[in-house]
Amino acid sequence: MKCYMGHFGELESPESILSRIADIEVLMAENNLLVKDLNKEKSKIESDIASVNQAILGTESKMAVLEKKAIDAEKAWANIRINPPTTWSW
Amino acid sequence: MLTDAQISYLTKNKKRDERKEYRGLVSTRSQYAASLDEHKKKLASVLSRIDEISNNNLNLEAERAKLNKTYNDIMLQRQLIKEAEEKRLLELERIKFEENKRLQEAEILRLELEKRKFDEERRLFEETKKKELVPQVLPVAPTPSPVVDSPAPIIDSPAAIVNPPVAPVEAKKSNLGMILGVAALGVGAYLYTKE
Repeated sequence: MKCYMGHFGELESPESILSRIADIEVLMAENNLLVKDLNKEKSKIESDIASVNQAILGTESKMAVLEKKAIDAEKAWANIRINPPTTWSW
Repeated sequence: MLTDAQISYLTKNKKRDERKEYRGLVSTRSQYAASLDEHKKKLASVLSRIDEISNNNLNLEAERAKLNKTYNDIMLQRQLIKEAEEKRLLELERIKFEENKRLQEAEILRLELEKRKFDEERRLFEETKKKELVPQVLPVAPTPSPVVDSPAPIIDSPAAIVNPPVAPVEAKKSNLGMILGVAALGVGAYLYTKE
């Protein structure tokens, strides 16, 4: 027995339809596996991004410390120039 | 005690180290930022691929649903055709049965007609037989010929073949009596004339 398939515009038997359904299910299973792998990869990248962000924060923190030191030194030097000490002790 | 020049030198050195460290930190941060961008690009690519595959799966799912519907429609159509065929066969069987019944009734009627005809023929035959038997019972005229020489009765009817007329024994006896009577009279007349 044949049936009319509007989508493909051709006659198709039920056996052929079942075969196509099986093919589609195989493709869907493969896609699901792929999505699973991609989700793993996504998780790993997100973890890496978090690590990099953490490292950037650490670096910026160090930079901030140095910047603060530089500013403090500038201020100290300015103060020394205005009020020079009578003696130096190290 | 350090001189101003020494202090300036040390401060300059310390500043230089800090500046160097700061530059290093800036470079490291740039590298981290580049790495971050790269990771973000990778993540975007992965997300895009996941979206693409998900969409593909949705399309496949829709296609599968459509095919399932088509398959179910076909199977339903087949079932309906099968049921219609079974119904048609049942109808044919019923018609055949009715036809056989009608033929049997016609055969019964025919047999009844034949039986009636046969009964009628038999009745006519019985009547004919009775009519044919009546004159044979009647006494025949006396004849001098002996009984053994009497001609056999003519049998021309089929009823006579089936039931041949019984020889009238009483008639034979009466004939013999007549013959004997006549002979006795003859003998008496002869003796009378002789004396």
